[in-house]
Amino acid sequence: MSNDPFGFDELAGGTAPKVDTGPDLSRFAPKAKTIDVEKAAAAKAAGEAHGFHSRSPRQPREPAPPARPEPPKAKGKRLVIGRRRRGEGGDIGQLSLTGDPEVLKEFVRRATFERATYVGFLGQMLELWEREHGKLPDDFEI
Amino acid sequence: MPTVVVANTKGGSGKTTTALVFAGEIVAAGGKVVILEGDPNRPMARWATRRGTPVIEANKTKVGSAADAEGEIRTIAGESRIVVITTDNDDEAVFDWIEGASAWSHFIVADPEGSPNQWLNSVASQADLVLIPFAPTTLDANQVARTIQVIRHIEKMARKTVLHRILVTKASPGAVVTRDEREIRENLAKNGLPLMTTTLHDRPAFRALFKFDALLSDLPVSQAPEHQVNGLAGARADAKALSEEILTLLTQAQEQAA
Repeated sequence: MSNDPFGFDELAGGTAPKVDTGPDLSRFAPKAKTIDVEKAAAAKAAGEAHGFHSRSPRQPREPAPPARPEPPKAKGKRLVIGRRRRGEGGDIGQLSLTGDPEVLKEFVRRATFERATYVGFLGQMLELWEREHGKLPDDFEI
Repeated sequence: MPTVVVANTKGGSGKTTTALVFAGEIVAAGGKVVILEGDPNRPMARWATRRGTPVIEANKTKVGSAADAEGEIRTIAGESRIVVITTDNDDEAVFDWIEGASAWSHFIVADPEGSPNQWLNSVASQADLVLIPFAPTTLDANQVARTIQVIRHIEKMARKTVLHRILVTKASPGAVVTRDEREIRENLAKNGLPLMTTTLHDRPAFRALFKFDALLSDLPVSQAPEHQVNGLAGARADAKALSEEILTLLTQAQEQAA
């Protein structure tokens, strides 16, 4: 960094004692910059695609989004999966499935993306579906 | 008004110390600095509040534009050459704060949370330099690789090159280099990863920045025996080397872009 901003020392043949005045900041003078909104948005989207969490732990939570519509009402034959917790008498979880693929998809969606309590029963649920209603729908993906 | 982001996806790597050391050098040279804090633990805001440096909490100071942000910074700064702005991870106004800060300060130094998040993505996409500090241990070295992956992802999505350098921190100040450190340095070089020449060594004077809520130039805060700090000369030499290397890198980048 320059200790001789005016060149006086150089004129004098470099005889002046060197004084450390710190880095020269003249190149970095304050100047309003304009954010490239498109690039910023792309980078932000990259974060979302990367699964980065979007809320720091201390930030107040946003209001809850409106509740999702309930899955379609079951029609026709019902298939029930129940479980009992060891040492307790009552059912703690029960699923009802029909032959309607949309109902099945909604259950699976909730289990996988919202980590519903019955997520541990997913495999059993799909086996029962196949046993009762045949092959899973073609476009069915987990 | 370049933006320097000090990022590592692992906490405890020396991010906040690095940010503060660099900011202190700029202030000592007569410059002004905005420190943008994204760490929810708010170490920088705590440091600033204790010493009377102005702090803006962005979640309590709503701005609608960069001009609003600049006005807020000028008002709160007064005679201070440092302003700390705390922002939250999904604060949409972070870009207004960056734009506003660039009109007031010589440098914006961003100190993100020690984990990859959208704040890091947003701010790093605007960075002129990303410094990746890490202590020379295997655990930290693994996280350097992760941080560089994040930067490469940002480069791809933002379609721009993000200048980045790895900075060794907390290295032994003695002449002896630990085996871990030597192997890690060799590995970085072998893989073509860009390493800063400067090292911030593990010195009591750096820890004193937070103990006394000070800048290096403030130390020792008094002549009292309890305020004396070891390793001050070495810390000052490290800090000077760091700021000079950063300014050289930014100058070269400006010249290449011109």
